[in-house]
Amino acid sequence: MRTETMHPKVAKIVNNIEKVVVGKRNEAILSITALLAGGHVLLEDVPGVGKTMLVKSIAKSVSSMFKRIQFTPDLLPSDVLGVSIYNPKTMEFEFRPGPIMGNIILADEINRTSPKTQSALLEGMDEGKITVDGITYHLPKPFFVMATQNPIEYEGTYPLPEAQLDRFLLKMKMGYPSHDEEVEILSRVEKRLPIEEIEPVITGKELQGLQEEVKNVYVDETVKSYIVLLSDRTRNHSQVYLGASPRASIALMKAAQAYAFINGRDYVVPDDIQFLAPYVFSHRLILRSEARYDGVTPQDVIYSILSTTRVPIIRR
Amino acid sequence: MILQKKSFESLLVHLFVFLLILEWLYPLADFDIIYNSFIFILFLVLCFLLSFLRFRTSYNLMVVFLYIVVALNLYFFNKSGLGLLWPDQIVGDIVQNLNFTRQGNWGLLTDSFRTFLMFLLLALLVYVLRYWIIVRKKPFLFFLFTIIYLVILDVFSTYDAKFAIIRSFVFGLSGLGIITFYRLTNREQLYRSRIFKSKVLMFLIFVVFATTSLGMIVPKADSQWANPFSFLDRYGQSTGKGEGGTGNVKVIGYDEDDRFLGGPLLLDDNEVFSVLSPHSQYWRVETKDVYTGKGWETSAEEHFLRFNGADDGLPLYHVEEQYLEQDMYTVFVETNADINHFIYPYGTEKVIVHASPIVEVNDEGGSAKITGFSAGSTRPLYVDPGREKIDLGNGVERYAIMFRRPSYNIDVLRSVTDASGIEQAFLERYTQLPEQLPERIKNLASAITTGQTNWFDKARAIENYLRSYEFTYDTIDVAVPGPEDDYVDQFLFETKRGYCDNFSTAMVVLLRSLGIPARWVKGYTNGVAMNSDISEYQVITITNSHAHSWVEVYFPGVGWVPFEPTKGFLNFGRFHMDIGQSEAQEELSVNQEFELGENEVREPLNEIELEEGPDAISSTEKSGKELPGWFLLFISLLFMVVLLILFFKRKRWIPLLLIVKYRNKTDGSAFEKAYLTLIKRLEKVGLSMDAGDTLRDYARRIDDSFRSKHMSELTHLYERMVYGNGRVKLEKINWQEPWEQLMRKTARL
Repeated sequence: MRTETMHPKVAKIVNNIEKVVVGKRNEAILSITALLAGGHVLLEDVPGVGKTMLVKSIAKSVSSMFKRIQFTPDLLPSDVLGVSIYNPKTMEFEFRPGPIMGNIILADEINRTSPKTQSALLEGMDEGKITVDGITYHLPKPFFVMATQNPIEYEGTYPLPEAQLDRFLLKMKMGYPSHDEEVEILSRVEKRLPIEEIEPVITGKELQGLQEEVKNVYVDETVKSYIVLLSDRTRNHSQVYLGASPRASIALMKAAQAYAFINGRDYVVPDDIQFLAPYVFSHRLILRSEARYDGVTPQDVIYSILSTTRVPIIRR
Repeated sequence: MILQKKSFESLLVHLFVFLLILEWLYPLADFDIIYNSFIFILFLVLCFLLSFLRFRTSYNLMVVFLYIVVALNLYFFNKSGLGLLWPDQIVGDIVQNLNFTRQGNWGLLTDSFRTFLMFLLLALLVYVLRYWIIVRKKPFLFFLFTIIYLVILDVFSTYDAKFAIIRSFVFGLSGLGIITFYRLTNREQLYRSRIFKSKVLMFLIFVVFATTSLGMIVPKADSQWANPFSFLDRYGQSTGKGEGGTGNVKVIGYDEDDRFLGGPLLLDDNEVFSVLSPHSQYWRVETKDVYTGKGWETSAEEHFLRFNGADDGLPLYHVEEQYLEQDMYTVFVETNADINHFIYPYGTEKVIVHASPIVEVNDEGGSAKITGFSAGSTRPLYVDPGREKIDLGNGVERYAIMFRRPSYNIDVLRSVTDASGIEQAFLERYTQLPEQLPERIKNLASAITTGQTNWFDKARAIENYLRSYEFTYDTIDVAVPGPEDDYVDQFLFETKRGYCDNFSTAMVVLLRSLGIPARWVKGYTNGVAMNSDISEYQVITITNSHAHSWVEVYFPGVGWVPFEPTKGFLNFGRFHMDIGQSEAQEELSVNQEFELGENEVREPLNEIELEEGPDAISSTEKSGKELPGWFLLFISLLFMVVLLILFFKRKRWIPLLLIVKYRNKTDGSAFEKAYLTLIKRLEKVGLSMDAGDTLRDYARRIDDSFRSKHMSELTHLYERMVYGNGRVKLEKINWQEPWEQLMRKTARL
């Protein structure tokens, strides 16, 4: 996607990110899509491909509170949420907020920690508030979590259950850079790290404003019916054990609104849906074991559904 | 699709289908419906060969056409070779038969034309069967129909289909087996090795052989229906119309006895008169004046007066002198020996018995001319003035008639509004009606003629009423009046279906109920005219089917004027009008005069209403009279060729038509439609949208293949219309130009 056709504010963010991360425009845009749609992103890939760098560059582009939580097997929920400590001066318990109290959170290696700690974060992501010692604290806005995880085949991980995965709007992979890109990365980091040089290009307030605008992006009945058609076909697909839920349909629509907004449109077209469907649906489908043994991935299923479902081209 | 290639299997299937069609043809030959089945079988062989060899359609058409022409030439016109590929006979024949077809005179079609149609039918049949069986691979229905056809023939006719059924079974099953084998292997994508094929073929032969022999060996029950006809007859009698009438079918022809009219008619093509005449006209035989409620009788006793043929003043058809044209014409009539009545044209003045034309052949031009006629005999002739009927006596097979054609002035006819000036006895005679005539006929007559003041317009109104869509011309399903029914009443109010007798009698009765003197005339219509070698003369053949009846109305000061109420026939009377300027008169009277062309059937409009607005006859109909037959044929052939070209080139002109359609439309819904139309056109030229394609993907593909950006531009607009809830003001955007360019490109592909 060319930056000229993008929404100008988004284009600025993307340019900023590209100063740091090489050749990952698609992932950058997807991240911003989730950010604008008010959802969260799950990045899945092997270590060292730039997951953290991507999140950091997004966080630095938005002048907002950036927090990082490194998940380890011994991390406790209070390490995430915060803890009340007795203050001998006032003779009261005072709440010391945890790293979750930020605008942009990098939840690094989320599948390395115990399910107890995972769910502490995920509940916060879902509801926008946390409860500690019976007192509810609202999380700041905007609130955007980018979690990274190593592929679950690796040892020493606690795979996220399906219900938890559902909390993420998008799931994507980073992938290795190409040869030229990797050479470019090397030259960039030769003298100093570019991440330290980028400046914020958008304020938190502005970001919130954009999030509000995204909600006004028009989704025609025609397109809605296309979304539902796709969800429905995942449910009836022969290789799928559990198809996309209505929540998945909602997620796809919201993501499409944000994506259309990024593209400078105030309405959603089926192309948006086709682009986003693999990222929105893939972590929400459970394939039948036969299909898994055959090496079929959820993406394969989604692509086959996309290529066989007729796109509605006439207004309903 | 191995069956669509020149393979052995395809040959086998073609052969079996051919053999099955032959089974349809054999019974036709057996019943003498076709006399020479050889030319048809050869034709079928040719058609199947062409279908098998898969030449281009145009070659196939040419070969088939050539065969038909040569076959018709050889068989009907006794001409050999291709030298006379396009002879007059064939053209003339086709023209004449097209006329019959237009008229619905199916019985009159000549054998050559029927043969031609049969060829056409067979060619179409082969074409359809090819699609049905070879392409679609659905042979069963045809097989089933063949068996049903044979069974019905076997049961209800003298045709013995015993072996035909066995043959069809063998051929049909074999063909079915081969086609099913290919359909199944195609569907399952099996590899057809030689051994596999031969195994299947062996099995098929075994199955066919086994089932056939089993079917022949096993005992069969005797037929349950000893004679299906007696059963059906019984059935028919118990439910059919029991009461009323004789119910017997009459054969059309001239019948002296008209006391009981009604019932169906059969067509009879036997020739009764052959006439040499300069033009076509109706032929009178006699008139009748007494309507009985069931049919017609004459009031006067039969009473023939003796005349010398050359005498003037024969008491035949009477019209005042000023309404006869100056030109005297002569016609020569040859009658069939079995006929004991004589025909004459309107305006007959002299009848010369035994006269035959003297033909002089001009050596230079080669055209022949009638210069006079042999004196004939002095034999007297007899005329019955009461019926206006001629009797020439037995043994007269040829005679000449000299006549002057009447032409009626409409203005004069319109001036007649009542019966003043008519003798009372005369008036009573021609306004006679049976006492028990139902009242509603009179009411109907008044209703039809409401608003008309003069007799002529009243007669026209009744004529038009009878020719309207309410009535149907039919010779088969025609009722016979029951003992209590009035013939006219039944026709006018109940059946509304009949032939000339119904229409003409009804008109006479309606007129009489209004007090207008009218009578019933019998005779023959024009007959079939053919060009003759003699200049200015036509050979007119009159058959029994041309027997006809019509109406004459008496106008004081003019005489009897003919009217034609029967649907499908046109008033042959020649009418003219007075126009102020004398110069104009001549010209217009030529236009307005009209006579019935050769068996032409036109809309029930009347020419004299030319001046009167909505019902005016169209100019094409008028000019149709002057156009020669070959021209009509040429025009219709041209028309068909144009239609065919238009059909095959539709990809080229439909887009251009659509461009014109959308050119001046700028609103959003027009754009939406135009865009979708464009997609349809693109699909027609092979650039169709795939299942997963979004409009953008598609537009990119189209633009790639056309090397343009128009489709993407349009798609962008359309997306906004459809997915963006019409968030675009199209008035400001010129969508037509890129759209038109794309449409043009589809036309060029």
